[in-house]
Amino acid sequence: MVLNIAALVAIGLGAGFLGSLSGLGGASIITPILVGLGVPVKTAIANSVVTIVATSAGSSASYLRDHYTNIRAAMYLELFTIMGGIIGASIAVLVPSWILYFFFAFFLLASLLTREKIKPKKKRSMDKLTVILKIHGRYWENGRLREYGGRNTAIGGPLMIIAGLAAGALGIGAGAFKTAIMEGVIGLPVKVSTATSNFIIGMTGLAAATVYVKTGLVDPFIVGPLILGTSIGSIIGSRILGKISDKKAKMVSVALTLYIVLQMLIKGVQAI
Amino acid sequence: MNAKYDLEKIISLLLISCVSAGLILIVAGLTLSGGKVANSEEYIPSSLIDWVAHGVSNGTPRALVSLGVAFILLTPFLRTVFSLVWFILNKDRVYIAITGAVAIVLLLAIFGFISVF
Repeated sequence: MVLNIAALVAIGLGAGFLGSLSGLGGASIITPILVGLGVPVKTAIANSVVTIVATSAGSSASYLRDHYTNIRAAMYLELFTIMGGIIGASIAVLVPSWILYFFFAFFLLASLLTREKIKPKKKRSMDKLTVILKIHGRYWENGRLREYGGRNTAIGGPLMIIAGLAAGALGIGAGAFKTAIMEGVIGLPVKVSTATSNFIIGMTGLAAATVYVKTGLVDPFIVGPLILGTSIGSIIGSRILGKISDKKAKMVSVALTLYIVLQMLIKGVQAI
Repeated sequence: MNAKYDLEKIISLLLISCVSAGLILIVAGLTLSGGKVANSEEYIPSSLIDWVAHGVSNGTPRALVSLGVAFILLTPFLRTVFSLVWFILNKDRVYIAITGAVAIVLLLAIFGFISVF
């Protein structure tokens, strides 16, 4: 399959736009689009993982300025996601393609269900490890300074290996899963979880990319146009997201997830 | 504002600078390439650094795009280094250890020393 630069920029643009609008992230859309156009799944994953780093860095900058990102929490959790990312990417290189199609479908569906099911529990005091790790902070919300503290970091950290593993194996950010752990297990506020997850995604992407470049599947002339398109598309998507209702955004997210799941299942069956 | 927010501002600036520089280089490289067919060669690098070096030594358009991608790819590593320096300056031992471990794993991965296959 040969794609020219303009086509790749257009794919990135569409993926960035839809990824930002649905909250799935551009990489979750790039892989299915490339696969739909006949690109081998491992090539699609290897190149889309690099675009994650760009979109993560771009969106994290504004979250950092607004003090939503908890850098200490990110550093601690990254210890686990980078290990997961490297292992996940290595597994993806070794296993047959049909397994990746099914894993992709399963993980997107699981993330969708997890996002709905895991809700933050009642506020509890910080445990000893969380105090040592200083996972607490404050940020401004509607003119009020809001303080927060984490908990369960001994469980939340190792759980992030799963998020890293999925991100590395599938070339996606796995942001919904990371946010669910930070909100539901560690007890961080929604905005802090979203911002910190966004920050971590880039690091996981880099860890996985170090494995994929060694396969020879990552080409600057594939990745470059995809990064360019995704960056522009995600900016447009985030602008439009502010103008549509939460209900419509959720509908786009669910419909798109189900469509991708179905497409990957069909591809998986065809690949067996 | 305490010192923590200074680190956030520094990293925010670093991310914007690296992504902007990377995108400018990518646009320049793609423009110079004149929209040539994308997947143009077969090459198996031994590490991320080798991948970047190969791209840079391979003629102007590819060199620019490779450098642009490298700028963006190495942004998370650079922000880890900045954080490590900040934690050292603030004598935060727990996070010197955590950030140091993250930096070492990344460095080994970037130079191709961590490989499962």
